[in-house]
Amino acid sequence: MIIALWLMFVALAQEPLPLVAGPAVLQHVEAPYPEDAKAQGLEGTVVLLVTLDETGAVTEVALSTTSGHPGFDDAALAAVRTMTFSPARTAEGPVAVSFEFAYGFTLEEEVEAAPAAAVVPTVSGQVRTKATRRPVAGAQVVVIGSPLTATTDETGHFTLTDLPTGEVRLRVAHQDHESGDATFEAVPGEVAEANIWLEPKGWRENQVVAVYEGQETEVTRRTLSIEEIRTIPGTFGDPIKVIQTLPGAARSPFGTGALIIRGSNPEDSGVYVDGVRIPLIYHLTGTTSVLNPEIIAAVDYLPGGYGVQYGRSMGGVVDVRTKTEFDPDEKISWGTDILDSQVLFEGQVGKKGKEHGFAIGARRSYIDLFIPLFTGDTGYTIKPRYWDYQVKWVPPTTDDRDVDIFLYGFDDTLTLGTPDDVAQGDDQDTQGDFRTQYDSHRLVGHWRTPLADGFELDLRPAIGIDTSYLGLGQDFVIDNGNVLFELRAEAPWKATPAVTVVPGVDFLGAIWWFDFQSSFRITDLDDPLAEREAVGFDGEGGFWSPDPYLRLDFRPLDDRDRWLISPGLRGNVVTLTTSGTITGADPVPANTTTSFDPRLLTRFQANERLAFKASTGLYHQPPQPQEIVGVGTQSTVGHEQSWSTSVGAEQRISDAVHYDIDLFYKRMTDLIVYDEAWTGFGTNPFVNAGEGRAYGAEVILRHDPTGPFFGWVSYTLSRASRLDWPTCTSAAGEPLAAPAEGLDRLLGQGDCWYPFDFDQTHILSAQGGLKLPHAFQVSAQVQYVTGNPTDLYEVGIYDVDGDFYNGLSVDAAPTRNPPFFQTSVRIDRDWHFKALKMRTYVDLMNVVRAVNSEFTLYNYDYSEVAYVRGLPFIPNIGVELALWP
Amino acid sequence: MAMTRLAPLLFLTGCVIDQNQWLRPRDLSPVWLVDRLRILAVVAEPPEVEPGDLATFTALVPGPADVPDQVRIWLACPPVLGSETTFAASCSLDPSALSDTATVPDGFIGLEPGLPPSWRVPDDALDGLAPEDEEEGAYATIQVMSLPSTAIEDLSADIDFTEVETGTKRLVVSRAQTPNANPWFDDFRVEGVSIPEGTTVEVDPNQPYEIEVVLPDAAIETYLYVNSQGFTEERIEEPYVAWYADGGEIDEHFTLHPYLQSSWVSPASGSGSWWAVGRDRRGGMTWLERSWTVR
Repeated sequence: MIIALWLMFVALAQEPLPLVAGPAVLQHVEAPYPEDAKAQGLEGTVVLLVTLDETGAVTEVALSTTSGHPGFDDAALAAVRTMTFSPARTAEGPVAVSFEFAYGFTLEEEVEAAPAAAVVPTVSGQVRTKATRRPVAGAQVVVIGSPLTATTDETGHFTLTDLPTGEVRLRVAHQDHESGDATFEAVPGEVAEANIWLEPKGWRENQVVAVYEGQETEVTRRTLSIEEIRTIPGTFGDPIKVIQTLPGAARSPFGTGALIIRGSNPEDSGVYVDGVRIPLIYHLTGTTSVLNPEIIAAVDYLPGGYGVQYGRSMGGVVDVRTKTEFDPDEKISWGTDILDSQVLFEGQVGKKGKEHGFAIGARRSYIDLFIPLFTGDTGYTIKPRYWDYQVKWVPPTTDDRDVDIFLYGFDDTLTLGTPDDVAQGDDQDTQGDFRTQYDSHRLVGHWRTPLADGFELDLRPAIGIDTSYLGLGQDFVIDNGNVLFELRAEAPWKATPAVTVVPGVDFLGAIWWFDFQSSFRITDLDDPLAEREAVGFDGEGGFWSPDPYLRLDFRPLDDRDRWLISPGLRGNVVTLTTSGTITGADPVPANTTTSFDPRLLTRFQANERLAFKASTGLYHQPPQPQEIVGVGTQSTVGHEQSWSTSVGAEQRISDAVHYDIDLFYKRMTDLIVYDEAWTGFGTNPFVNAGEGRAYGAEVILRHDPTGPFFGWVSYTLSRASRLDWPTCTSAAGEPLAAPAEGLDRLLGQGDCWYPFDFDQTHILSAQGGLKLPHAFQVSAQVQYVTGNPTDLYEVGIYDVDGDFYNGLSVDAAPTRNPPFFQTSVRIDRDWHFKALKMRTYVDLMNVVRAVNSEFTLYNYDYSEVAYVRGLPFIPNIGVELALWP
Repeated sequence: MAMTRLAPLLFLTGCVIDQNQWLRPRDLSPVWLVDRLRILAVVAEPPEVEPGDLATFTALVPGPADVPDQVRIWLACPPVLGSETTFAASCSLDPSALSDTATVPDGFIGLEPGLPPSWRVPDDALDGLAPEDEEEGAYATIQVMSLPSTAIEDLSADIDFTEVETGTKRLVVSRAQTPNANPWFDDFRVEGVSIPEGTTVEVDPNQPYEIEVVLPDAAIETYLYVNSQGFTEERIEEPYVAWYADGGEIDEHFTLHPYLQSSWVSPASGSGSWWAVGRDRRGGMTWLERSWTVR
């Protein structure tokens, strides 16, 4: 298989990263007016496709739209080739870029040399972009009713002389802005001043939507621009929520925010911020990510086939990259909707050439303040609350070095209260209020520097603390925490033009502790007559995982970007030390588990528009904390394993439309499952005995935001199943000696196999946005997803002692919840003022009021079925302000 | 312009979606409502026995008047020692075995009406247990199945289990120092007024009433328990009451001692019953039933 993959032509993924700064004209070159055109009184505009390299140098100029006159075309081509630009930049630094550039030819009347500037009427002014206040270079300034024109310089300034006396009206045109007018009184002997503000008409103000040449080391990396994803309906404007509209991601129940990627459990997928893993990506409502959207530069979604630099995960990877470059002008962003309010202050400070970039922001929910208005004074309370903060500092450095520091954190609390005089069930030990809290904070540094020619060092050290609490009444408490130390270090070395060696370390260390107190044993809950005994134990220890990895990026063809072969090897080492009463009477020695992940990724660019790609490899994942800490004994569970393989292709159908298709297969083994034979303290409750399979096809058809429209349609056809081996029984309920072999085992079907909890056969998601006149934008989203598998009970057996029914399934046929269908529509309206941009929107979630089921509920004796319904029709109204003080 | 046409269309689409195609959680039948045949309680007398002892059983099985005539089949299974749990979720009995009147199938202990259930615990029920484990004891399983009397007329036919109401109860078999006894209620009160057995309470329509049972202190036992550390503890029972009615609306299904009253709102018309079922969490049970009618 590996040899076959080596021989397979595979593709080069070229997804555009969003630009944080577009190219700007530094030196404008005036093209000579063709004599024959001048003689014929012709005027025209040439649209050119300009390509710049990372330094901003013009590498290619091609005719995109002819003026209709070859003289104009040739003159414009020659002039632009000699112009100079500033380079375009993404969050990761300067990049090559291609963009359309309009060059206009307008006849000017020959005028006699003006006497003195102060004698003839003159106007001088500056053209700038509304809200951002950035100067607009290369804009054409025309005097209405007069042949006089001027072009703004790189600072946006222009001067027009010999104006007609009286009221003069100027019109300013620029390819990235709406036209603007200005009127003033021209008086001989005076220099009038006209400052003109233009509204941007692109998707990103003052930026160019462009495709740049890049080479990523993941087979399937799907990146969307922030401006695209912030206006998708139903996402509360959260960029990270949009992941759930991409192929491979299953729909999670509303309010959970679980990441379910390619048939993996939510805890199997890793979430990173700037390469550093974080425990949660969504606040407890599942609707909002823990980072302020304004500080996010891009979101990378890697459903599988990622390289050895990512580890400790069997599922997918989501890597959120935050801004490292900030506009020179300080900006305050404020947004609010029905859930929360957020504010971010960003910009640059310091002397010219030594500017420090910075951002500081915070958010707080207020749904906990509103809920009491609807619940009334019943004694019942529900208080979900979250807040987060971010501080980023980017000190000035030389061009070939990067340094930044990022501090961020969040807090989530949920309290469910009941009146003291109302019993919650029949159990004396489970009365009282429920409260859960999660806190997480990280301080992350980043330092990248060249060490020698072709050799550089990239370091991301981080320190953090996570704490969590779960309590029920006075008698049940779980309290735990971790202090974490992380270091991601890479030293890419370009050994030859064809070979780059990338050694690295992904280190994670932690000091952990927990305390557990309960008035009953968990195992007692199965027995209504069990005599309750209070239990309590604590634990503390260390976690040490210095995972080294080595990757080779081999580009065998002379055209280095065409074929990439990237083998890699990662070592997974986890050492856990445990002390405290959790260990029982005897001390527990350190528990070390190791594994190795060989992986191979390859991509081949068949031509400019078509690419093929493939990957295969092992992915090991250490046990979750609750699984690896033995209960009164040494834990015996080891790493879970997934062998993951994918093949696919990408093709650009036109300049704006492209598709990406993947076929994947995952064979999961050594899955950690609960041991039904667990007898309590002193024995291991988990064993590495489960298996899983997931396979399917993913496709996304996407229209880039190159014009007024953007959108994508994604579809996933998949199947995922599980086998909990120790407790496996046949369909007839008889214990089995071994699961089925052969094709059944390969595909995860037959006796003992059951559908994965979130096995969704069809996942279809379509969304798009359209720019309308008058700064309106309308976006829509439609989703159809197969319902999750569920158990169907038909009869109940009454447990007389416990006063509850146990459900029984007479007909063992598997069943599913009804399919999910939802349509949402969002309408945005932007207002641009001189130093202020305001966006208002109404997000009509589930606009057709479709009734969807999230969970199945039964009545007390399982004779009736009901569904917990999903999101009702919700009109979410929001306001976002951006102020450039 | 396109949007102005599209928006009403979207909303119209919503209007044709059947909002009531599935039950909502709040539409599910409440557990306190006796609107079908229900097993509400099974009392074993005594609730905790030693090997060789005889226990008798009674069941509270109310239901609407239009429920077909029922028979109740009673089964008993001795403790299964040495397994993960000593409580079998259900006894197995092939109903067709009952058609042979010449022999009594294993586990069969009663058929109502006609043959009241009773069971003598086998003498060897706890054999093999250590003395301290014998004191803690094990669970025998008592199972009662209520099914239409027509079903028992042809026991060879397949039984429709959706028409069968089945209940299982643990019978504690032990050599405990302080074996359990069933609790009892002294009184049933409505709005603080004692309601004697056989009395029908007249209530106003759609009015709230406080219903209450009186559990005497003597019914709450103090007993000895040997904990997992081997120490003997003196414990007091923590009983609770489950409330049922076949009309109106009960506010709290469970009430925990010492709060043994619930709130009931009468219906607009009709008549029916209340049932209060008490449990001591050790296998002991009791119940009271009173009738109501709307004026």
